[in-house]
Amino acid sequence: MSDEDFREFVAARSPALLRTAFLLVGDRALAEDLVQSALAKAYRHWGRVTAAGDPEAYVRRIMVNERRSWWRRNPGREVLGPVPERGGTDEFAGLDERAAIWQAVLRLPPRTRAVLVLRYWEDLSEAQIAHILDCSVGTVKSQASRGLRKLQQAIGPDHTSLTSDRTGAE
Amino acid sequence: MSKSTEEAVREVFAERAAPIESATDFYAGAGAVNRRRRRRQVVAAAVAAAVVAGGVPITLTAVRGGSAAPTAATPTPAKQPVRGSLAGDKALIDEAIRLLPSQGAVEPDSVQVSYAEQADGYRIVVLSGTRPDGAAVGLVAGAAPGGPLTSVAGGSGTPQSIDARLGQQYYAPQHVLTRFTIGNRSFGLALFPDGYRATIQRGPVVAADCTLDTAPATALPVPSFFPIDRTDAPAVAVYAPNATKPATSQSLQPSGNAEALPQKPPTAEIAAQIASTLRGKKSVAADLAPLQDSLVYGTGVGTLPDRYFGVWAGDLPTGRGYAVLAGIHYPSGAVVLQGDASDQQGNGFSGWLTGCFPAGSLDHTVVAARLRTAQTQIPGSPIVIVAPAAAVTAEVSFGSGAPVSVPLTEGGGFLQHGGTAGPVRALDASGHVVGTGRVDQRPIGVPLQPR
Repeated sequence: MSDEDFREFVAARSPALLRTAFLLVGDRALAEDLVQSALAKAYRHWGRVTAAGDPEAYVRRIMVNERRSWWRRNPGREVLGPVPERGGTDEFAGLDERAAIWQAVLRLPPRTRAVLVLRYWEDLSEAQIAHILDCSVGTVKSQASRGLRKLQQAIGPDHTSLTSDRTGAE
Repeated sequence: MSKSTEEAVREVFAERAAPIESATDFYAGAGAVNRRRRRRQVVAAAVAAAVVAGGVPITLTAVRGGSAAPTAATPTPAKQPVRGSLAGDKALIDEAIRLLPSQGAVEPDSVQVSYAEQADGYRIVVLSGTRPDGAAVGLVAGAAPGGPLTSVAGGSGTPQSIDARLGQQYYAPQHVLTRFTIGNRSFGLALFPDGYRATIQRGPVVAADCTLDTAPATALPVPSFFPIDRTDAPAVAVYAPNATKPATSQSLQPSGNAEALPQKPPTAEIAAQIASTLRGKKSVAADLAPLQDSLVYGTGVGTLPDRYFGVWAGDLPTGRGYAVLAGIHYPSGAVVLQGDASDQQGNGFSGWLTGCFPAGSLDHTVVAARLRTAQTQIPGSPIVIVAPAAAVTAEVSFGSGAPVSVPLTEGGGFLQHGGTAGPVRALDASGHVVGTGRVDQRPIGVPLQPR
């Protein structure tokens, strides 16, 4: 194991990993915990991790799975974002569309949210996502479709600037 | 030109993730975690253990560069008047200033204390400062009654934005709308410049007809720090002087230790509530706790129900897995349902409905849907039919042919038929129609809508 390699990797990639973690958990402090936990696990096997050729993918995979296991162990501790005020009076109608989408993202199941984050933030291919999530490409496609549809449903018919997507699978 | 949801999601992710920075030294943290782990494994590593025990507080409060401990800033008088009823509590404010380096070592002269307030015996101090590298950091320090002051929210960013970086929930500079947990209680914080005004409104109520009622908005004391209960998650709107539309608005959902919030039923109680009314395969009730949040928040409303209930569950005709329908009941009598199932390979089918049923309407409704896998709808995959309890048979229409009769067990059952199914009606033992519905009607139930 090379501590120097690991130090360089952390210095270079931890900002990006932290942003991904934030999108996965929706909470900055939890995101730091998630990155820290994933890096600590990677550190223990750093020699093998680097030998495999893509340490960032490895750490990202740990983060995604760790995040899912947190949820499974204690779903009651899920960080719940604020709920869009769809039922508000006119004076609350200013809540913007992007805020509504973000809140809907926070309510997605962990696996679905992970697919969207990896696809639309990390810009990973469906095959890469399937590898990280240890599932089929078809599952990735359907999860992405389902997630996008839920976001559309969540922001409601008032948000007319969004069009239907080409995600008709299912 | 309108944009696609995919584009919108990319924009939202970029907008939310881009400001996220950390003062955490992940390298030191990872090393510390593993050193601590090895200490447990190797008895002879006494020296290393001593270093760790006196060394870096792991993760959130470690400072950049891996130094052994955060550098304490020297408390200095605030440059601007501190707002809030505890503005004169110098000991409290000094203690908060000592905590500020947890967000990154700051220049002592840059420390600015904005607000010190109390609510129900809980105290907070809001403050910010600037790091040597020019980045600004912000902190909300909070204390439970009789407890120590600790960091409860914080962040870092550009000096121009730090006023709004005191939590992850922000929309514009100069406005801070955030929520955090002190001990086991959730609190909201609304900070905004003098001259602005703010209103607060409790969460929506689901009426008997599935419309959403909202409580009238009331003026918020300026500035304000307030407890949030699980069921009243308030929406806060901040208005610029003379403005009629809010400059910022946000719902503040409780956070933190949800199990400690008294309004949140424990999982076992939810399972018991579901089991008490579940027909068919009752043994699955204990497995349905994961539905509790998706039932509540999948509606997009987030209003907690007065109780959960099971409707029906049954083994899939494929021989492995089961389908289940459960719901939440609002005090008004309106209900929201959600179905779920797993297929014979153990893979999850998609949740197959979510909708609101006006009070009493479920008593004469047949809920029917063709189960879909996560990948796609499979022609010929089972149609699950859940009818009122008295039903013993369902008749499913396919085009112009004769309806297909389906025997029901405790009001529910499955049909395997590849055709395009339409109306369904359920009959009791006397042949009377006790419920009607339609296969794959979308949406099933009423979308929750404001009046």
